[in-house]
Amino acid sequence: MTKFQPHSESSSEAPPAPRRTQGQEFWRLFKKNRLALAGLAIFLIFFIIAVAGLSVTSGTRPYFDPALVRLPEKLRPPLSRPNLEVLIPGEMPPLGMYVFGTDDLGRDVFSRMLQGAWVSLTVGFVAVGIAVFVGILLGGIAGYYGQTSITINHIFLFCLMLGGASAFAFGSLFPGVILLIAAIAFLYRSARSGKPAKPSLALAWLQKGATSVDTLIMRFVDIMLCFPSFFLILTVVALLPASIYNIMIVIGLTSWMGTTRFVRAEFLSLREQDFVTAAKALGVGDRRIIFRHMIPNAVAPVLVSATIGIAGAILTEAGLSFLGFGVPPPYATWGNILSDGKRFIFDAPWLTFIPGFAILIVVLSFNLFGEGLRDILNPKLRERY
Amino acid sequence: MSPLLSVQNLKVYFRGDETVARAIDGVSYEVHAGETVCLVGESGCGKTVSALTILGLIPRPPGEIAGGKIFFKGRSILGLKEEEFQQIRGKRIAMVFQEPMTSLNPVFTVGDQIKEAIMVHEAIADRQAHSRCVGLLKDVGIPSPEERLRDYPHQLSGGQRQRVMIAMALACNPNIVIADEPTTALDVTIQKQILNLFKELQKARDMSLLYITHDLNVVREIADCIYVMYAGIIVEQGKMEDLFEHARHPYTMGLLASLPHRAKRGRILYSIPGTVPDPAYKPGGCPFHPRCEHAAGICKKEFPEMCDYGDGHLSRCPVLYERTNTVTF
Amino acid sequence: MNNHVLKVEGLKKHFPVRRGFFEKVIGWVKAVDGVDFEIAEGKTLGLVGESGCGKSTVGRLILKLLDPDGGTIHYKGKDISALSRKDLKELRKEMQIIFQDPFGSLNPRMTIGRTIEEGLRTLGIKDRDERNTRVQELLERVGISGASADRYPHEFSGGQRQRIGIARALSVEPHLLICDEPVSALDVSIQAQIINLLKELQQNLGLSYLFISHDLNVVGYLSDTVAVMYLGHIMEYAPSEKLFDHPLHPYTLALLSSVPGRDKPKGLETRELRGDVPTPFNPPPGCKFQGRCPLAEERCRQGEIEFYRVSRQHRVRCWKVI
Repeated sequence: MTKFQPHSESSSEAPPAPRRTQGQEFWRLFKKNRLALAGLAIFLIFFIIAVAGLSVTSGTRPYFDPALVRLPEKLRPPLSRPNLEVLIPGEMPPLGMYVFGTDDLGRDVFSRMLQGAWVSLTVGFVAVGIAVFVGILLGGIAGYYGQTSITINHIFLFCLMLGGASAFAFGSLFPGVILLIAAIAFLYRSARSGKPAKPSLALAWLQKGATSVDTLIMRFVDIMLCFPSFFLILTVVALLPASIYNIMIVIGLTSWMGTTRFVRAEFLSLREQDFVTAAKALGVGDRRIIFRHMIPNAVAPVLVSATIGIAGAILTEAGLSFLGFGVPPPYATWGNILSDGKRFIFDAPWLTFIPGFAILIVVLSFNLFGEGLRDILNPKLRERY
Repeated sequence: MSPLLSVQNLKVYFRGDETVARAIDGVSYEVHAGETVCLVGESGCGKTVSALTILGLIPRPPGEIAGGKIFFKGRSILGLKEEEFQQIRGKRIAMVFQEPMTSLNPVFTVGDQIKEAIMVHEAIADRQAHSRCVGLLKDVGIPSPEERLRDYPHQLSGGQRQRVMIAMALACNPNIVIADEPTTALDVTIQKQILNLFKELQKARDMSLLYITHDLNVVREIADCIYVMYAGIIVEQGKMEDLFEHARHPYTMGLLASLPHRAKRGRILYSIPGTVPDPAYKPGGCPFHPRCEHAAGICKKEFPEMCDYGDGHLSRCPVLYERTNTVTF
Repeated sequence: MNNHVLKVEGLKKHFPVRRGFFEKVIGWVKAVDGVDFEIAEGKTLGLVGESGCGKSTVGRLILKLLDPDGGTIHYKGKDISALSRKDLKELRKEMQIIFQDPFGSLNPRMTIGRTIEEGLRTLGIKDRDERNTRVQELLERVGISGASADRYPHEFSGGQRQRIGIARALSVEPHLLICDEPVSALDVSIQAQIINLLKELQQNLGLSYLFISHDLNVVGYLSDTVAVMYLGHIMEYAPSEKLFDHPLHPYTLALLSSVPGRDKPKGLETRELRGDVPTPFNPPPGCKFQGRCPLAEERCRQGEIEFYRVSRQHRVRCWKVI
């Protein structure tokens, strides 16, 4: 009776469950989520419009010229035909009509919306890209190396280097060089000595842990979160020259905290997972563990927050432009179209409603898509199949 | 004597997008007064689903009761309205869950939670409820019950939490306690305490116990009657001694033979090949046939009938029944 | 007598408990507090204990995934308690670990082939084709079709995943396997398959096992020697037959009589152990078992209890029973 059974699992399995790759499984769940699907569709349309918009509104003689002023044709309502008697041939709207009307300078709102779409898209993606990069970097460090303590040693070194660098920056070369050389010498020394068997009192004091990397980074996150971010951005923008790139960078650098927290939490829990322990036991290096084992498993929530973050960045940019702090005038953005239109809200409501509606739809689509992603990537939901 | 609880040909399906998982596919069992009945089976065999169905706790959808009847004290309870069910659930039939960490609400004291269990069903004064709580905790063997009532769940150890869960289940003197793997998350020494507690309580209160577990060694400690489940059906049933001494179904025989024990040292452990089938893709005929070493051609085609070995011992394996003279285990 | 693979003496690991903004240490969890044992070549040592007794920490200390706070670990006669990074890499090829949870032990975003391949990289196999053939061999070795190397973990059942975990551990051709509750999360029928696989691998590859488990039935079946652990201490250490037939320590006795099932060791009245497992946080001085021990008296509450040698291979940490 107790005959040894060779391990032949696959052979004795009755009709097996159909095999699905992770991608197929993702699609299957995604297709069930109508709202997320709608969000994705709108996002794709927006993307195509924005890219197309860039190509038809830029260059020296763009097909849709968003900056072309036709003073006699100001505040024409949407879908109105151009008055051929007052226009020279080059001023004709390309579609034979003002699709979204014209503004107070007679500029074609449709062209301006097209140009603004590209601005919104790039601001959203670049700003979130910066935020995600900083977030993954700091969150990853806090999560993986968090327990490493920062010793008084390190603080001393940091002060030396900072002092040297700032001396350089303010033009005093000599003290700068001295301080930097001191820093390098110090670094070299501590790298050489390793851990002495019985450190002297002074050395022991230098080796004393002041705080941990995790505490340092996470308290910095807390400090950043203390500022009302919109006003922080306003301050920074007021100091910097107004340009579309500065806006992207500033929005990005003030919105990475959420991602940092996510990534840290994910790393902390992943670090305790058995497969990470197994990789360590196999002698896999730190770098490979982080990039092959941890980051791929941590991206899901980051992706979700990034998608929702794009919506936030687009809103912030529109808000800044509306207040006049955003992308400078020759560029049209949805925010400054809205801003310009507010003076004519009763005479020309389309100037307010068209960009407002566009912002609403795009932001909504990103939020829906992001929440759909969250539902799908939620492990509790996935475990059922 | 009519049984206290009787489940007849119960079928519970879970509908997916493209598939139907037949979690329970025609299960019948009976619990008599004062008896301990064990449902044994591996994960995914439907033992927990069957218990949740008795208490009306199957989420619908995706779950659906595709057939069968459940009688409690001779009254059908499957079609009952939610309000009517409340009268039975917790009061006449109570449940103890596996995970003592998550089955207590962390923001209320132990006393509040036991009191709630009483006051949902009985209109009694707060004072009385309190003294009932103290009595209950004493019954389940918790030292200094007055103080423990003021504790929050996290202040108790795993074993004590499970005792509190049992106290809550006993709050309204139920006729049946359904215990779903109540000792699986506990250490052996604590498991022993809880099993002994169940035995004592059952004797003192004359209640029935429907005990669900995957651990055959635990079954051996407490069961009167055993139902072995596999892939949503009952493959063998009988009195405890009978089943352990003379298992008749290849699955039960395999399970018993594959239990590791130091007496089997040096010999290769018997193992049932293959894995438990996915409830959505069960093999036709006898669901055990792909893993069975006695499988014959008929097993692939026909769903096996229960074969009677007498004295309440039934086994769903006609092949072995025909060979019954030659098979000795 | 020097045929042991691993010899552990006085092994200690104390975790600090920190609180507050400046992370002040407010106490210590003595997870492992002086553990001695040895594992003979090709044999199995069962390490038994209840949850929180520190048995998993012992496994991680031996693998050098954690640094011990005291004591020595000798692997094949060489002290490995203080190794450089480079020597550590060599050690990784000698000992490996298998985990309890078949779901958490494989990276869900890596194919099983890739997972196993990581060990082959450590082994220094540069050639890609060779690595692939080795992956196939390893999979076949543990009873999984080699063709499924490009599948992801979620496509496998718990038992199959456990096999894949074993294949990963075998990839570096180790001599010592640390099995951390490898069958506890599995169904009975699957459990027997994995136990058989482990036994077969031991016979064919000459592996030594440190088998960590709370299940005395499994340990009794698999182990040659058994160490019973309680709150960071080894309470009793003896050859399997001796420990199960003539247990000495009151804790071992209680543990054995708690095992469900019918056949108890002879002369062992069914005794229920009162109370719960205490936490290893700031334990009282003296014997760790004093709080639950039926034999405890004044002397048990003072000072460290010695690890007495009853016979050459039987040691017990209780002065009352020797």
